[in-house]
Amino acid sequence: MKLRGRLLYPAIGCVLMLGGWEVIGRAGLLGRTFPSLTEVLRVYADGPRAALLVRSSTATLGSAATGYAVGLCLGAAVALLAHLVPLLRGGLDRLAVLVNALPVIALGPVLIITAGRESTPAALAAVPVFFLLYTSTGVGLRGASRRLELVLTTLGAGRWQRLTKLEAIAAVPSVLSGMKIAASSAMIGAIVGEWFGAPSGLGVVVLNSMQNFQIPLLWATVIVIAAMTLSGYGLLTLIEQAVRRRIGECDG
Amino acid sequence: MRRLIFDLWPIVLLLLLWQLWVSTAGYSSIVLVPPGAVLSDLLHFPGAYLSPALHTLAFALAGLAVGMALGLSLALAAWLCEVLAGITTPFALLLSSTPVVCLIPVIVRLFGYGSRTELMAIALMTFFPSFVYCKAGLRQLPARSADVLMVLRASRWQTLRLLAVPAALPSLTTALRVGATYSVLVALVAEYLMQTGGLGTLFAVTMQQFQLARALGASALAMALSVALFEATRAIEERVSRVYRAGS
Amino acid sequence: MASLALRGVTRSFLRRTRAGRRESFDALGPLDVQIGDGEFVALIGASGCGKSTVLRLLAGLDEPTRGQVQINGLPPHELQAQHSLGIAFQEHALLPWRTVESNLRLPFEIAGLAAPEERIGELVTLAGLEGFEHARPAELSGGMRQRVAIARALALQPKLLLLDEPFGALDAVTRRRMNFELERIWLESRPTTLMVTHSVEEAVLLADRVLVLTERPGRVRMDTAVPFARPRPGALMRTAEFHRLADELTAQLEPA
Repeated sequence: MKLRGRLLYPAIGCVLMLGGWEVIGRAGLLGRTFPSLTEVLRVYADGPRAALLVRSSTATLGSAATGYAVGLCLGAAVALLAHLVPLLRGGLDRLAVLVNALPVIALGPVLIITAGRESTPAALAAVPVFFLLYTSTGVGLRGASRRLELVLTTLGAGRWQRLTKLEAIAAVPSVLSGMKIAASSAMIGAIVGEWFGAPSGLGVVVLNSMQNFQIPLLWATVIVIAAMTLSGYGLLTLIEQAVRRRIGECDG
Repeated sequence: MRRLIFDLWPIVLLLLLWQLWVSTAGYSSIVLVPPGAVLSDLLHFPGAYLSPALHTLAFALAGLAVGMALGLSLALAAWLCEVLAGITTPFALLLSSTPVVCLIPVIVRLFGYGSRTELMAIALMTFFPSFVYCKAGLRQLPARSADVLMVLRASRWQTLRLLAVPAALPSLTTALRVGATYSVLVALVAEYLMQTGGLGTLFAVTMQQFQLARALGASALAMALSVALFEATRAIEERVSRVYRAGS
Repeated sequence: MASLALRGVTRSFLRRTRAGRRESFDALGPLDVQIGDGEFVALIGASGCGKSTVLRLLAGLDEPTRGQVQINGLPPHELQAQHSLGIAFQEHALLPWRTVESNLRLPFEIAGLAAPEERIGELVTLAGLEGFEHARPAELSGGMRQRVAIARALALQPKLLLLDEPFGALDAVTRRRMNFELERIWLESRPTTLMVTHSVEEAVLLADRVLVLTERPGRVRMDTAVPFARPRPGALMRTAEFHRLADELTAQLEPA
C-alpha cells in the first residue's frame, strides 16, 4: 500500500503541474510571457516552426555529440597517462579542479579565437566533458582495490597486465558515471557556444526567440533541450546497466 | 608549498602556448591578444574591473543565500508533510533536467530585464540543488537514532530540531558548494543577456567593441571569483562534515 | 520497576510471492511470555527468528498483528510517555555532533526535564568515561561509544531496559570486557531488562533467565533459569556448570 502512495502523489503532482500550466497560461496570471501548455504544444504541430526545431536540434546534437566524443576520448586518455606517470598527476588534478569551477561562458572568447565561431559549440562542449571524464577515469583507475592489486602482483602480473586485467575494468563504473553527468555538460556547452555567433542550433533559436519575444517558441525550444538532455542521460543509464551486467558488480 | 607551485605547470604551459600562438600567428589585436596584454590591462586599470566584479559577487552571494534558504524551507516542508514531498517531485524533476543556462532566457522573459531578474535567476538555480541535497540530508540520520528518539517520545518538532536538521548540515554545505559554482555562472549569463552590470555585461560590451584584452580580463576575473567561491564553500563543507557527518 | 507480559502475540508481514501476489507470513508467534520485576532476561535464537521484533514490540516501535503487549498492565506507548523505557541498539546511535555529556543530556531535553549536573556526572561515571565528557563519539572507541549508549538508555532511570545485541559490533575481547561492565552498570539500579543476543555465553553470563526462540515464526522453545549468584566472577565461565548450561542452550539453537 505504501508503494501505491509513492506513485500516487507524484502522479497527482504531474497532473497539477500540467493543469496549472494550462490554467495560468490561459488566464494570463503570470503575464504574457507565460504561455499555456496548449500554446507550446501548438508550436510542435506548426510546420515551419517544427522544421526549424528539427534543423536546430540536428545542429546542436551534432556539436554536442562531437564535443562529447572528443572530450571523452581525450579525457580518458589523459587520465590513463596521468595514472601511468604519477609525476603528472598532481598538476593535472589541480587543473581539473580549476576548470570544473569555471563558468562555461567565460571560456567563450578564448574558444572563438582558437576554434572559430562554427566550432565553438563543439569545443565548449568538449572542455567540461574532458575534465569530467578525466576526473572520473582517474578516480576509477585509482579505485581498484589494494587487495586485488596485491593478489595480481603476487601472481607475477606486470604493469601492463595489472592495468588491463584489473584497473581498467575496475574503472568502468566510475567512467560510466562520469559519462552520464557529461551528457548534460555537453548540451550546456553546445548551447552556450552557439550564443557566440553560431549559424544555427537550439541555442540560437533560444536567443532569437527571447529577443524577438516569441514566447511559445522559446518555451518549446527549452523543452526540446530538456527532453534531449533527459534522453541522453537515459540512454547512458541503459548502457551503464548493460555494462554493469556484463562486468558484474565489483566493489573496487 | 613547493608541491603547490609545481602543480601549476599545466596552467603555465597553457599560458605559454597562448603566448606562442599569438606571437607566431600574427593576429591583429581585435582577434587575439597575448596573455601579457590581459594581465597588463588588469593591473593598470583595476578600477574598470572593481565595480563590475563587486556587482557580480554581490548578486552571486545574495542569490545563493536566497536560493539556499528557499531550498531548505521546501525541504523542511517536504519532511514535515510527505504528501507535499510526493507532489513536488515531478516539478523538481523537470527543473533538474533542464540545463541551467537554458532556463535563464525563460526567466528573463518572465520577469523582464533588470537586476531583480538576475537575483531571481540565481536564486532559482541554486534553489534546486539546495532542495535536493537538504531533502536527502534530512534523512541521513545516524543508524537507529530515529528509533531511539521515538522511544524517548520526541515530538516531530523535537526530532526535526535535535536530529534531522543537524544531520542535514553536511548536505546543506554540499548544496552550498554546488550552488556556489552555479551562482557565478548564472550571474554571468544573466548579466550577459540583460546587460544589467557586472562582469557579464563588461564582457559583452567589450567584446562588441573589440576591446579583447578587457573582455578576456573580465573572463579571467570571473573565473577567479568562481574558483574562490568554490574553494571557500568547499572548506566550509569539509569543516562541517567533520563534525556533523554520521560516520560510524 | 516493570513486569512484562506478551499474550498471544503474533507479528505478520506482507510479502510478494513469485507469482506476484501478496501474502502474509508470520514472522513471530504466537508468543506467550511473562517477565517479572527486576529480571534480566536474555533472548537468543537463530537469525531471522524475530528476536529483534520482540524488542521492538516492547519498545513501542512496532505493533503486534494479534495479541497484547503489556508492561505493568499498560501498552508500551504509556511507558514511553512516562519516560520509563530505555533502549540501546547494536549501533550506538549517538549524535556525532554532540559531546558525551551532551549526548547524555538528550533524554532530559526531550522529556523537558532539567538535567542536573550531578546526574550527568553520575552517568559519566557509570559509563566509566570520566575525563571524556567533552569528547565527541568520533574520538571514542567502539566499546566506549556503547557504554555511552547504555548510560544514555539509563539516563531517566527507566523501569524497562531493552538491549538489542548491544555488543554485536565489537571484537571478542572488548565484548567480554563490556559484558562485565554491563553487569556492573545493571547492578546499580537493577531495571527489568530484556537483552537480545547471538552469543549463548553472553546470555548465560548476564541473565537470570534465557529464552530460546525457534526459527521463523519465532516461538518459545526453551525457558531456562540461570542459577548463578551475582556479581558473577570471570572464573564462572570456566566452571563445568556454566559450560553445561551453555551447551544445552546451544543445542537448542540447532534446527529441530
